[in-house]
Amino acid sequence: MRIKHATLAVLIVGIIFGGVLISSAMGLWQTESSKTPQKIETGAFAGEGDPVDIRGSYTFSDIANAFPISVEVLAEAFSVEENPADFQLKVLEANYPSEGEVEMGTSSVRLFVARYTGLPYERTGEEALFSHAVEFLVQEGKLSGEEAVLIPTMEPKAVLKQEEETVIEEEHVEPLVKGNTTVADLFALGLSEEEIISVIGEYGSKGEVVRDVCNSNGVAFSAAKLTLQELAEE
Amino acid sequence: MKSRRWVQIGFFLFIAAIAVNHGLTEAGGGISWIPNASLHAICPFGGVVTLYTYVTDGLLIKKIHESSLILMGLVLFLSILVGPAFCGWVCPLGSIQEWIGKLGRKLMGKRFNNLIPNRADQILRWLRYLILIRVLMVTAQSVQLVFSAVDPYYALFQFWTGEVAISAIVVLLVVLGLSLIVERPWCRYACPFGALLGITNLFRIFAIRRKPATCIGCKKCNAVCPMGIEVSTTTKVRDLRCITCMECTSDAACPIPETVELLGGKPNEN
Repeated sequence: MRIKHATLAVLIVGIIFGGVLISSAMGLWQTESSKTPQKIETGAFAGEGDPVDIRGSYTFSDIANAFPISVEVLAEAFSVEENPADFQLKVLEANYPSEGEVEMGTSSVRLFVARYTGLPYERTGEEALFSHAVEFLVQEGKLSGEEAVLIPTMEPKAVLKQEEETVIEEEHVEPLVKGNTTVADLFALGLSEEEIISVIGEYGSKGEVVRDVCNSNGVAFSAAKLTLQELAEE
Repeated sequence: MKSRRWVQIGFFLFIAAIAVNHGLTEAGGGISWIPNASLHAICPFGGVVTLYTYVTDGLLIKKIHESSLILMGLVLFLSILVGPAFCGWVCPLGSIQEWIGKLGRKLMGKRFNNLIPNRADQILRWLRYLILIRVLMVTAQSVQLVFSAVDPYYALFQFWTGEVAISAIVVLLVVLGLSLIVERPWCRYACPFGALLGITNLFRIFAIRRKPATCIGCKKCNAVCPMGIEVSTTTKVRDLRCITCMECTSDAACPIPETVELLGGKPNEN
């Protein structure tokens, strides 16, 4: 059997694009990381999305798809007025640089989503919320008055615009340890295996995400990342 | 040979459009009818380097996605069928080297492709296998996309983003520069993915075959081979460097009909 040029051209294009189309139809074609948080594995909320696994790369729309909370509620709580559906959580941290141990960022969204939806979430103490968001949760009966006074509050900037945030983000020093940092990344930062295990506990492979290792070992990621950051900077 | 040229141009523009659109989308813009994906997500070699961690731990290396594994599978299937046609027809880095090589052929004349001594060429051709083994080992150990630091393909389509390592840009410039004196230098001596696909030349279903009974020994097939293979000395091309470009066939350089062809089965059955 003989294959001519034109036939080979059709064969190549057909196999590559045909394969991509078939894999897309089967739901296998993924060109970006999943924006679905891990499920809570045990307890009364087993099978529900875990607020702890909300990442900085998520948009409000991603959260609305994964939890029973609307983009509008999130936009109001975090004072985002322009295009809130596509608002990425990491932009919050860029706009509100952490004040000491307190930050307005991804962990704030985790706390807000958890309290709004009634899902379990243990505060680390670093999560700040806007005062109007705390009042909203109390009014809705989703946050007790006792806990409300324990949550650090901030006041929002007048308007959060993505464009402005991009500029600020460029000036903001990126943390070395983030939500998607893997154990391999820690080694690349110069940490030894002993140092890593002492902070996050035992891990399965170097490809595991540090946050996941912390979660499975019962270690607070927010505290661990600060310790790891310090070790990396030494 | 127009069909190959159009396929090459088509894939080059398609990948370039995806790369540009991804940057625009990240910046809040983007064109809806052009696919949005990172270059890593549409590179089949990403599937190769993450295969070890995927099999052993069920994890994909950071920046690599399921799409890379699927593309790797499709390209391997294609290669088992007709050899490394991905290199000769699809890979944009191979195409741009080839296009620059055409300029080099005009500038260098007979010195083009003849500056590297045969002995050195015979040794250097194995370098890409050392690179392949090294990349796979280091990637498996570090679980990092180490190759991107020197990857000229990534540099070619991302050099304007500021995300490309200087080392990768240097490699790209060296490769493009060398393309003026030798055809497809990256493919010949350094490409780890080409090295892997080249192995399929040993058992591909459709192979380049030369019919000695009608061959007049003009050696035009040798002269046009972009990978420096002596087609005229063999009846079936099993050389690991063949990229199934079909430049040597009777559809292109070979002046005698049905003498050098891409055939399946045994020659005397055709």
